[in-house]
Amino acid sequence: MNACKSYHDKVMLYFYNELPGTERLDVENHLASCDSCKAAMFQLESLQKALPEQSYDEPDEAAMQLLRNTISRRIRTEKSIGNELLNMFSTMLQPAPALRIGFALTLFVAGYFIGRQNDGAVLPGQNTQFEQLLTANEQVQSENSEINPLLASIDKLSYDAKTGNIEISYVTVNDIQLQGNMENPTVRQMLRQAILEKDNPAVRLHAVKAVKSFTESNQTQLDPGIVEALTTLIKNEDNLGVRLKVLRVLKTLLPNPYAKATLVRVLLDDPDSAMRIEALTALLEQELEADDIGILHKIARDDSNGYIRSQAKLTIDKYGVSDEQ
Amino acid sequence: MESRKIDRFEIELILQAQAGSAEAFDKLVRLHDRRVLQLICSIVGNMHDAYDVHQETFINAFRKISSFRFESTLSTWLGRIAINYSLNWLKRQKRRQWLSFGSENESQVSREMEMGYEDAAEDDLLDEELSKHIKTALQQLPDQQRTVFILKHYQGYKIREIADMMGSAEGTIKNHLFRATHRLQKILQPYYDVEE
Repeated sequence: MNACKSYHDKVMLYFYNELPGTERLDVENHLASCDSCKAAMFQLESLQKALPEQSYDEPDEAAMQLLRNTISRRIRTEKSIGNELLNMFSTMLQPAPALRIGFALTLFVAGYFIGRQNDGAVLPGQNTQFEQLLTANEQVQSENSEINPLLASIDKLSYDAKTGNIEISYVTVNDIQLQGNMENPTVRQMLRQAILEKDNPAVRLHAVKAVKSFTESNQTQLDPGIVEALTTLIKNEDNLGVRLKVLRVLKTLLPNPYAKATLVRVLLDDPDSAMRIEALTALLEQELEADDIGILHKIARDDSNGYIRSQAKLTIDKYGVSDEQ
Repeated sequence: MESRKIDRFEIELILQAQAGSAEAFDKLVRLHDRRVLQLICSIVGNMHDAYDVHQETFINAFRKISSFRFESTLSTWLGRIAINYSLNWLKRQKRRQWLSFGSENESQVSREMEMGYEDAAEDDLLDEELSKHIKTALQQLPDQQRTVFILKHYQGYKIREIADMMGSAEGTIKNHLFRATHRLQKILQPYYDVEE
């Protein structure tokens, strides 16, 4: 094994198709006679097979066009800023020297006052209007929020020769961070928003997981707005993983009638058997009511999944209730 | 993966873009944006963030296009910018981890998203478990190692191309690739033992 240690790196390069012809042949000859290197090659092949496929849903042309338009718009904005600055400087250079000095002084004074205005823009803990403080790249903090405005683009830049004012309109991209627990109404509101987030399933999943962790460790009542958002999500969500997580949250809320109604609806109508099984299990862990037995009769008869039918029948037998009830 | 050769049409567009033509740059974007997006997505792990990094990559490429000296293909040059931005994005994500409600990062989230509930046979469960281990291990690799591994395994780049894009020596890239592969193999080891 030690003798062919030097070959192990070569085997890897061979496997990755990175060896030139002669060295490839050399490794192939070696592989034919060396069990250790053969095993190394086998392990590499096994790794290749075991690697999860990286799913890449190529965006459609419309999405690509949207991206292209954004890039195009941004580079044109940058270009026009460059041009305007260039024009400004060339105008500055054309007039007589006295005017040039006057212009430069005006710019200096304007810059000085603008600078002074922005002094002390970071005012932690104060109740301030963020909009007035949004200076690009300057951090703004409040009680439980933090804003990191980043300069995204400058929309408009104009110079008023009469007043010496320079007006710059710019767009910032803000990472707004909010921290707090479930008692904080803003956190609850944002969570609700996150559960109903349309574009990013990861955000929805994180939100559901946060609610799940909360319900598992707290006996306190869950915000009705969040419960409502969860029941909406279970109806609209495409991702089975997320829907199952929602179902498990609702399970912890039983015997909340709203949660129970949703579980029953899933049991009766959901096209996915995994969801129905989860709902059935959750319902069977509760004390059954007369209505529940009726539902069990229905699924014992109609459900397409054998496991669900058999579980329903077993429970009916256990309770000894006839079909007529 | 074959590097794109710079053809005359592309050279003309690059020269025009270097002279400040936004229209020419638009056309270059159209030529390369899908490949760049796929590259970024493979590193950052999700399309949502890939869109942002993709945009920044091309805006930066526009700013720097005058420094492009035709020493590599434009595709490689763009790849280099894309990888830099993607790696920076990963760094920023790590700094922001306190924001997420759990300790998982985005890719772990996607892992969970992909995991379905199933009454699977035992074999399927073992496969799933193994796949889960490998995904976690991939996540645990240092950014540079993971990026090299992904570029090699999933994107099919040659070591030379990866070195060019990452601005590193080929030896360094080989080293990253070896380490990443060994680490993943270590995780697989118990599964080979079971099979034998």
